[in-house]
Amino acid sequence: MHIIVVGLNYRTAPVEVRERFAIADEELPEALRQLKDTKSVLEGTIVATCNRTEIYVVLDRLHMCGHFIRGFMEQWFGISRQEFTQHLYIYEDEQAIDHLFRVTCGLDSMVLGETQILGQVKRSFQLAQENKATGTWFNMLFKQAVTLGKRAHAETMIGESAVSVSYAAVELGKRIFGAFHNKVIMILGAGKMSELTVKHLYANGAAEVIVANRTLGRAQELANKFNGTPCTMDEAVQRLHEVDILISSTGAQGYVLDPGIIRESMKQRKSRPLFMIDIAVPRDLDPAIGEISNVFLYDIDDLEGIVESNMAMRRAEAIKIERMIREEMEVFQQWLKTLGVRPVIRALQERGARIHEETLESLFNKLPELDERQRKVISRLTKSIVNQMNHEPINRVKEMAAEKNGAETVELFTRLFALEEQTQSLTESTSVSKPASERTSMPSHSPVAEGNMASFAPAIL
Amino acid sequence: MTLFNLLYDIIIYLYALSLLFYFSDCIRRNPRAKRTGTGFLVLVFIIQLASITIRTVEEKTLPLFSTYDFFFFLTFILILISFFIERVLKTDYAVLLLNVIGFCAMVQNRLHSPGEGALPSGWDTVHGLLILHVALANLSFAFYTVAAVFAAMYLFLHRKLKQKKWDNTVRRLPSLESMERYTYTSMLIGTPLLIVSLIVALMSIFAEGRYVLLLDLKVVFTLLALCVYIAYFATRHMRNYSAVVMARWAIAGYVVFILNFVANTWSAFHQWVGV
Repeated sequence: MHIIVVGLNYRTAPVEVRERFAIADEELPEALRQLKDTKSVLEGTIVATCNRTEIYVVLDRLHMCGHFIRGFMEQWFGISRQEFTQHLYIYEDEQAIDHLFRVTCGLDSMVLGETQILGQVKRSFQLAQENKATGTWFNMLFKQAVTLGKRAHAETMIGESAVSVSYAAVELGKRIFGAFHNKVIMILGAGKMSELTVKHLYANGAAEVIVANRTLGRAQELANKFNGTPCTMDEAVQRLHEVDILISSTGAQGYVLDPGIIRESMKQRKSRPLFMIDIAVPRDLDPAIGEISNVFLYDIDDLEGIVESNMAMRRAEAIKIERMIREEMEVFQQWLKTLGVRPVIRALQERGARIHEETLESLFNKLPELDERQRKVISRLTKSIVNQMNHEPINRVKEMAAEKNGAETVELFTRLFALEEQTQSLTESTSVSKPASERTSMPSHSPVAEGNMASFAPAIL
Repeated sequence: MTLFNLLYDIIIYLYALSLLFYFSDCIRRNPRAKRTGTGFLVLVFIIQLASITIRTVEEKTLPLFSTYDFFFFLTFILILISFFIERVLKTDYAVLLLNVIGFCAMVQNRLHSPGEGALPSGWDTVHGLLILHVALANLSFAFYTVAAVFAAMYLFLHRKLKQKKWDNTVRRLPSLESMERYTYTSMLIGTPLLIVSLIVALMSIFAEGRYVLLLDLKVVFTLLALCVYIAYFATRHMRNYSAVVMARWAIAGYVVFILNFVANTWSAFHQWVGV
C-alpha cells in the first residue's frame, strides 16, 4: 500500500486557482465519500484551507494513482485537469509523510511556524474519521502528525514571536506593560498602519483609545471603531500625560513632538513608563525623546529589526523541528514494519485462548466435584500458563518483524506455529472495507503479503 | 554529623546538576532540560526537608542557630519560593538566579561554616523568642533575595529595551510592570517579617537588660537595611521616582543585607548565628 498526497498551495497556485478548489466544511463528508469510492483509494483525508487544498490517500497501488486522484478532482470541483495539473504537486510514501509532518508543524505555511494549520489538519482528520474515510494507516499517521505539531510548538519557540510590524509593536508593549487592560492608547494621525497597530492593541485589551488628527472628522471615524474619543492635535499634546502608548503616523514633514513636550508630560506621569511608536516616514517623533527616562521610543526600522530577528529565530527553531520530523518518520516506519505481524500475534493469542477453553471444559467434565471457587482458581492459573508461554515469542516476533528481513521472519513464525489459516481469516475480517472489484490489483492476502504491504514499494506513476 | 555531611554533599551535587539543566534551558529554550532541572531540584528539596525534619526531631528544636543552619534553611526557603515562581509566575530566569544564589550559599556553607550550632548561654531563657527571631529573619532574607533578583532582572530588561536590543532573553523575560510588581510584593512580605524579627530581638535585649548590644555593628547594619527598605516604600508611595530608581533601591537594600552578614565577624553577640 502507499501513502500519496496530491494538492496545490500558495506556492504552486495563485489565489484565483486556489479559490476554485475550496471545499466548505459541510461539503467535506460528501467529498470524502466520493474520494473513498475512487478506484484504488483505501483511506482518505482532505485538508482544505485558504492557502492549500490537499488530498491525502492510502492507495493499494501507485500505478495510475495520479490519474485516479486527478479524476476525482475533476469530478468534484468541475474543473478540467488541463487547467490545474500544472499547479499540482504529488508526493509519495516517505515524501508524503514528511510533507504532512511539515504541514502540521507549520513549516510549509506562508508564515513560518504559524499554529492555525495544526488545528485545521486536526479538524480535517476528525471529519474523515467521523465519515469512516480513514483506517489503520491514517488513524496512526494523522494522530502522530498532530501530536508532533503540538510537540513542535511546545518544545520550540517557533510560533511565539511577532512576524509583522504591527504585532511587533504589541509584543514590545507586552514586554513593558505585560497586559494592556488599564492602558490608554493615543494615535496621532489616522493612517492605515497606525489603525492596524491600535486594532491589535485594542484586541489585546487596551482600555481606552484617543485618536488625534488634523481633521476631526477622520479622527471621529477611526475613534468610533474602537469606542474611542477623537481630539485635535493641540488637545492631544495637552492629554499626553494620560497616555501609556502613543502611536504616531501623521505624514507631517517635521517632528510633531519634541523632547521638551514629552519631558513636561512625564513630570505629570510620575513613575509610569511611556511607550512611543513612530511608524511615520519621515519620522514624527524626535529621536532625542528616546533618551528621556522611562520613555521607550521605537521607529519603523526598529520594529522591522524586531520582525527580522523573530524571523531568524523561527528559522533556527525550524531546524530543530526538522530533526523532530526525521525522528517521527523513523517511528512511523517502525510501526509500519510491525503492522504485518499483528494478525499473526492475534491468531496465536486466539489459538491459545481456544485451547485453554477446550482443555478446561474437558477437565471440568472429568472432575464434576470441583466447586465454583476451585474452578475459578484453576482457570486463572492455567490461563496464566498460556499467557506466559506466548509472552516471549510474541515479543521476539515483534522485534524481528521490524528488522531487515521482517517479512520472512513473520512467514517463518506463521509456519512454525501453523497459523496460516487463522491469520488469513483475521486479515480478511480486519482489512479496509472496499468492494472486491476495486481491489483487482491486490494479490490474495497471505500473512507474508500483509507483511509486505506494510512497507513502501517503488513508485510507478 | 557524618550522615548529614554525606547528605550535604549529595545535595550540592544534585543542586549543581539541576542548575546546569536550568542554565541550558535559559541559554536556549529546552523544555526537556528544564524538566530534568526541576526533577533534580525536587530531589534537593526532599533531601533538605528530610534533613531538617530529622534534626528537628533529634534536637527538639528547629536547627537555625549556626551560620551553617541559617544558610541551609535559607536555601530550603529559596527553593520553595522558586517552585512557586516556576509554577505560578512562570519566570525561568528568576528561578535560575534564585537558585544560583541558593547554590552559592550552600557551597560557601560547606567550605567555611562550622557544622554545628550552639545555643548561646544568655539566650536560654528566651529560647522561644530566639527561634522566632532567627526564623523570621531567615524568611525576610529569602524574600529580599527574591526582590533583588526581580529588581536586577528589571534593570537588565529596561536597559535592553532602551538600547533596542531584541533577543531571546528579552522575549522570555516577564514584562517590566510585572517585575516591578514582584519586587514590590516580595519586599512587602519581607519587611514586616524583618520588623517583627527585630522587635522580638529587642524584646529579648530589654528582657535581659543588655542595652549595650543596641550599639553592636550587626544591629546597626540591620537597622540601616531596614531604613533603606522603608525609604523604598516611602518613595514608591510618593511616586516621585521611576521604577528604575526603585529597582536600584531594592538592590541597595540587599547589598546592605549582605554587608550585614560580613558584620558577623565584628559582632559582639552574633558570631554564633547567621542573622
